Amino acid sequence: MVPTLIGMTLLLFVIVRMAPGLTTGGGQTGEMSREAQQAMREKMTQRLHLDKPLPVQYLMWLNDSLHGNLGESIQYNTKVWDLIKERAPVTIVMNLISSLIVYLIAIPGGMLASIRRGQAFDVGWSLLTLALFSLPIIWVGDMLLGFFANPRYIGWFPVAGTHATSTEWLTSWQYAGDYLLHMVLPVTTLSLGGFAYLSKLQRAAILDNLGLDYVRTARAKGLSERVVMVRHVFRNSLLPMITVFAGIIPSLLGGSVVVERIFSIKGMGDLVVSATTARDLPIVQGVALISSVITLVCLLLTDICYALADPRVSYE
Amino acid sequence: MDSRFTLKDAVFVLLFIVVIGAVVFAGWMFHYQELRLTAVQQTVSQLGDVQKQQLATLSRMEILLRSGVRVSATGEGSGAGTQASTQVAGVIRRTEADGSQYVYYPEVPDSPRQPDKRPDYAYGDWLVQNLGMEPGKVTPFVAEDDMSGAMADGPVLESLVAQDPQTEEWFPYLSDWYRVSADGLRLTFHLRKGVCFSDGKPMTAEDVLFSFNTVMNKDVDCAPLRSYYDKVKSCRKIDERTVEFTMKEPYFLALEFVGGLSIIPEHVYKFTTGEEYNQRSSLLVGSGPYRLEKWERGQQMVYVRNEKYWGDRPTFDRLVYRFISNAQAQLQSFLNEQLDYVGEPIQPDPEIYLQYSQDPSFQKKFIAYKYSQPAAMYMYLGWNCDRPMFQDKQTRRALTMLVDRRAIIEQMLKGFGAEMTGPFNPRSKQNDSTIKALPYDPAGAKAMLAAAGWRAGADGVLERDGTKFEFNLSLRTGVPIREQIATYVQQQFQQAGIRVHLTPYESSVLLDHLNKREFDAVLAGWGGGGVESDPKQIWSSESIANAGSNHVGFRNAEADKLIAEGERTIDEEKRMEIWHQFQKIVYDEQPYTWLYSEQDCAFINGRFKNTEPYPTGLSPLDWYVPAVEQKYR
Amino acid sequence: MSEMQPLARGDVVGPAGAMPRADEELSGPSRTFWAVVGRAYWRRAMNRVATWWVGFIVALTVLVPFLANEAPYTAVMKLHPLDAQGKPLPVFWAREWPLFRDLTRVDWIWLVWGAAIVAILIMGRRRGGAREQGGEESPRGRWLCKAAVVVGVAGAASIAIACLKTDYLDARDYHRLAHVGAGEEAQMKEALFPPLRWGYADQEPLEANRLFKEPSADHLLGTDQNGRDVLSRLLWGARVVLEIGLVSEVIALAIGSVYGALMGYFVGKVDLLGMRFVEIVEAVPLLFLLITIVAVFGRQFFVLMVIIGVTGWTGIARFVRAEFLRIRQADYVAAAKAMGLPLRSILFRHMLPNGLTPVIVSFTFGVAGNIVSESILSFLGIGVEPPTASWGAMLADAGDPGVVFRWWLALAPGLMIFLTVFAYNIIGEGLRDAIDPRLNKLE
Repeated sequence: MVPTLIGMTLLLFVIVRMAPGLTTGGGQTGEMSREAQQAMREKMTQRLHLDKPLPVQYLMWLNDSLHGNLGESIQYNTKVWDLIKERAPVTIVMNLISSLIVYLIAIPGGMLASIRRGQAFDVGWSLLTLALFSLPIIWVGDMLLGFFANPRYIGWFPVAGTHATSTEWLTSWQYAGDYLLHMVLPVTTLSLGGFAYLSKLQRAAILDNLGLDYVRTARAKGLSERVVMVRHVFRNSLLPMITVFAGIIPSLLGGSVVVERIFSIKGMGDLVVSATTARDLPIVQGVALISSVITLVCLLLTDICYALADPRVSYE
Repeated sequence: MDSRFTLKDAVFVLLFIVVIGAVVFAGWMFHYQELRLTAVQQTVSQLGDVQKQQLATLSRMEILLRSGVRVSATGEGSGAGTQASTQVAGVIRRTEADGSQYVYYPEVPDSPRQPDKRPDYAYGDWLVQNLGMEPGKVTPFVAEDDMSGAMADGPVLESLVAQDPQTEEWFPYLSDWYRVSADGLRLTFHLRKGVCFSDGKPMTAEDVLFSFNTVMNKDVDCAPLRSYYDKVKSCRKIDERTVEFTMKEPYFLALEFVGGLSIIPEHVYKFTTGEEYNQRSSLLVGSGPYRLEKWERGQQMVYVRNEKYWGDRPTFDRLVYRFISNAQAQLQSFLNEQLDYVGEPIQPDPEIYLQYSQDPSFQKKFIAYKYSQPAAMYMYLGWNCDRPMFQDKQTRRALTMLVDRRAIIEQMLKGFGAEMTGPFNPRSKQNDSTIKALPYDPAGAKAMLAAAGWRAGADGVLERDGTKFEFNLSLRTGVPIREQIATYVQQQFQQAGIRVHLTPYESSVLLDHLNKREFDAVLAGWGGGGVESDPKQIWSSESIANAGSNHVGFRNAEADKLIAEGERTIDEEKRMEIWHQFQKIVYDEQPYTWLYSEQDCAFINGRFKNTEPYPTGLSPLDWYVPAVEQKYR
Repeated sequence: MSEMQPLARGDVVGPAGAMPRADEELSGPSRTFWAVVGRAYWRRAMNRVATWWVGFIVALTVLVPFLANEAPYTAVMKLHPLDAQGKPLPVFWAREWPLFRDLTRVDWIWLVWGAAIVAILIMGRRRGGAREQGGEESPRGRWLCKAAVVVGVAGAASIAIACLKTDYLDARDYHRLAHVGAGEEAQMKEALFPPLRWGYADQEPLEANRLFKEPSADHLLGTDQNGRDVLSRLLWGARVVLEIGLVSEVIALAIGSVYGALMGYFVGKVDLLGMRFVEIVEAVPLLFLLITIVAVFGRQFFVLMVIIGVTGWTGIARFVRAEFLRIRQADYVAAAKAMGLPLRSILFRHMLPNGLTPVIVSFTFGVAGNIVSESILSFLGIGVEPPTASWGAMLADAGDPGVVFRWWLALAPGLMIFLTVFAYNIIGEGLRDAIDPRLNKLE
């Protein structure tokens, strides 16, 4: 775990420092004069200790990060940690809502498909979810935005952001409504692709369980088919779905870059993309570090979940 | 057994839903709390409304009085030309015996169109604008790093000299007179009497000195700004109200740079280390007409009228800056009248502009302007003059003639651009309007290329002395208009037998290539600068290697001489003559193919009056709302 | 990019990892494993439609220069073309073949491969036909040999074309030449144009004011920001999508399978370290990596193919490793070891072919994922360089729908991406079901 983490930070550091254009910095607005470039360079040097040899830079960064200091952004002149705190909630909320929707639709869908396997519903459902999965997210976003948020066609939804531009006169409930209204299109876009995998997994899990001895036993006991399915098979088949959730957690933080860009939502993905093009290294390093730590933790979590869920799996 | 795990199941699912629901709920409740706080603040501030109304009545009387007095004093009707009426009695602008220039304004001149003399002029109402992006800091000087920070500082900070938006002439503002010595090396400013900061403390020479020293402090985060002052040798205080700046060498922009320095109060900002100064991220105090009242993170910045303002009473009760980064969201809130102004920094899309500005129902409620400003950005194709194919003038001129610049402006920019005949803004005095743009003439260009020795090779590509006319055109990635132009240019050149590869780079990488001069041709833009720009950085042969921006490697001895001469010439007319000569040479050489100079557009809510753009652009602080139309009270 | 992760990961988790048990399916002694799989696959209409769609894309890729091109197949000029010295060329040259002269290296290479594919298919069909007629079936080995020869010849020819051919730059504006009454240049006397007279980079003249035009009779799908024909770009885009999808996935497959095979064979320390490395690579911020690589190497087409391939191998490596861990226990590996065969032989001749069978499934999913990746890269402004016509770039060209929504620019390319990705995914699913019939056979 720890060596992996160190390897990760090392690779991360190397890649980040490999990026060209560090010494010029990225202008957001246009071509910069030499003076402005010089200034940017000074600022970079100061924040990232670029004047020191690379190994020292790495160690200093590692040391700072260990002490919870992720540095200060170059574009925003703000602490990276504060920026993350500001941007993360939107992204997390958006992804959580969409995973919730995916779970709530995919699990019943998968169950139904497994009961009616081989019938029209099974084939249709798998085709439908596969089609949804195949939809290019950019296109869906563009189309939803273009048709449903454009007063020229169907202007039901707001075009960008997470809340109206002036919210100070809204009551609590109005604000909630406004927030949800803003979330409809992004969450729809984000959710569509998720059904295929989960419902397939659910279907497979049920079919796996159906072949097991305990089902035969239950049937032999004379339990009705309904009871067998609902009480035994469904319940057992839910376990893998829960363990899968651990694998989804890392993407809660960064899984919506494209959606955030399309709908102009100021979340983590947007933060990282703009920081990358502007060579705002403290942000890139900070966010990457946090997300790799989370990824690692979740990998571990997934393993533990598997072990808990299935006692047959044991490690070493 | 059955009931047991049903319960467990249910609990699990319930827990799952509850947790997620709680997070979602917490997410927006958090936000809402913040908003409630704002609302509370607002009710508090509304308590003072009664007083404000009284003040408004008073101020209306004040206007009547003032305009009455003015009319009798100058002996002119308000119908007289705007030029004449801006004159303040007692203005002195003369060259003294020792050759120094002396400018004295006994009081700050009215804004050129004198809105406060109009019959429907009234104080009050708010002006709600958009900053585009939330600034990281508003600390003076440090904030100028990003555009939104500079804009946020605008209503609060003022400088020693200001520019007349109509005549583009500099006049003393926080100072009442200034003197530029004959050799252009010494600039003396004398502070105007009664000038004070928003906390009521008077401004002194110490404050000017402090401001200058702050900018020059190496630890203060404002290196780009600092670079403007590297020609300044020293700054010293002569007496309580007089300061003198000494330049290392005469420089024609010295007055603009030195006089344009924002003056901040020493007693507020006093610091021991630069770091300490940098950390004061939201402290903003100056002498300007407004002061920052509150900054709601992620929502808006609110400025209130500085009641202790030393000059004329500012028109609006409040200025509000919102942070909407999405163009369409901005437009929508403008159409819902939640925003009063759409323009810099996020201008309406040209297509949107054309669509709306011709719509009668839009015209009824809103105003639309298309205008140009002196610092407009221009687009060019730069030819690396060290590459064999771009070495001769004739080839470069032929390349320009292959590009239909007028059609680019008409079709791609929808008319939001002006043709250029050199490096200067087409509508500035610096520009020589007698120079004719090279025509768009593909046939003529082909003939010129043939005359320059280019012949088609076996593969259809032009060749000369074994060099194929094949090059990479570098451009910035992700800017649609640039890719559009580059693609067009590629096809035009192809039809002349020139093979162009488009190589889009990220802006930072492109800059790297430009600085190292590792490129064949580039599509880029230059922006910023003031009314008059210094050609040295881009065109002097010194700027090729020496930290300048002469990326294309333009070398011309005569041009160098003219630049050096122009920089030292303080007299405006002579200097313009020199610039015109310089422009002729550069345009003749065509190291760039100048494409266009950008034009701006803006939408303004119709309740505002006196909104017509000046030659220097829009000036929102000149606007006003007649009493009957006021929206926020 | 993580939007497309779930299903790719699903391959690993899903129950498809089981070794194909072809023997169960054997109904006759001559039926090989692949014949069974093929039959099971082809039985479903959905799979057939998807396969035909991909076939259509391939055909388009090969033939698109002849379908949508500004240059005519053949033309006779009013004035004889001049040679380099300015003298008129002999009459023999008066009939020109501009389209064929303009064919680029890539066009020729695709033509070669198109011919190769057709040849292999015909050989396969003849073999199948012979079997159906009850005649003597030519052994599979011979067919494979012939196919290998064809592929080899095609490969050699492509390399030769890539090295020897130079692309011709056609300076002529055929639209104007064909236009009656157009001025100064030599006009065409007669010309035979392709069905669609617009090339992918071919622009309407700027002064004609034909930028961003909605669909009309002239341009069935409208024009884009440079006055280019959207339909033509759509057809040409098929080629880019196919190239990116296939080449990147081949790269990913090569890296992933070798890496996975090594890990799976050597278990223990190598495996442990190797897996840690995979984890490390997976945790690297993909977006930053992509932008960095693009910044270093530029937005060239082949760079993008390599990038997409290089960043997509970890999933395959995990998959192959899991397969190998299972196969290791198989008897034939033990036998190979006992025979003292060299490691190279055991790994690549005996284990890899068996371990790779299910990888074919993830290959098709991978291709679908790469097509999506390409569109996302274009969306982020780091896609193929202009004026290359790729569906992703066309989608990005449609601009921000929040500002001005130009549906005709976004609709068609998006639909094409969707259909193609869908087709690949259906093929993947179909193959998975065919290879591992366990799920369908239950009860």
